[in-house]
Amino acid sequence: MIARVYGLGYGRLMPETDRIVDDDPDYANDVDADREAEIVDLEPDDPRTVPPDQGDSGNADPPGGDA
Amino acid sequence: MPSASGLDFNQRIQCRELAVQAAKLARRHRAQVHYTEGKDRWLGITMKRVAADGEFAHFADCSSFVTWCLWNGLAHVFNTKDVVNGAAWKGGYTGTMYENGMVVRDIANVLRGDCVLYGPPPGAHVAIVIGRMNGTPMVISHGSEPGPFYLTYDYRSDVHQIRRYI
Repeated sequence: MIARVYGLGYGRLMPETDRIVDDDPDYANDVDADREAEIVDLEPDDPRTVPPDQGDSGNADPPGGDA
Repeated sequence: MPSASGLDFNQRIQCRELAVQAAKLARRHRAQVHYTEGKDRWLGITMKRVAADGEFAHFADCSSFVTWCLWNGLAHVFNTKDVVNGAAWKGGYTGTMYENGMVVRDIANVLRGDCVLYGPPPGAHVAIVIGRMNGTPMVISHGSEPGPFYLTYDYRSDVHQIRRYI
């Protein structure tokens, strides 16, 4: 069974059996603890200069892999 | 229910720091980080190249790269089982990453160390969140030889899901 889930800015299909962190009390304090995650020491790369990510082989074990 | 990793709050904080440290280190040394889908992509883990010691994976594809970043905290420090791919830290790809961890439903709840999966299962690409810039989650992505790159999480139009393994 697949359920449609809507978030802020992205929506995706997910199995209803997937565990979700958003309502998990174990993670209740993690967002506040991560507030200082603002990045100040890196300059983003220009996505227009990034080559396309390579494809996915769909293979879990070497050789093979994904982009 | 325990966290995705089974780690407690303080352990998770440390684990996120270590995963981000690994991703940033590799990005700083990207000329020495090569892209491969071959068996060498797991050498970062099998050779125990630890970012805290200034070592990084020299060969990786997208999924082995983010797995190596997470391994630095999850397995090397806290000795957790492979909660990323379920493959004893010896294999995996985006398909196995979809089968493990937990879903982050709301962008506002994204934390460092979470992974952005692009394309529906089994997935086309994955990148690791290393923080935010002006509120937008930022990732380090290794999908081609010139990488890893530092980009907004939605630099691709096919963001499908964000998952947490820590």
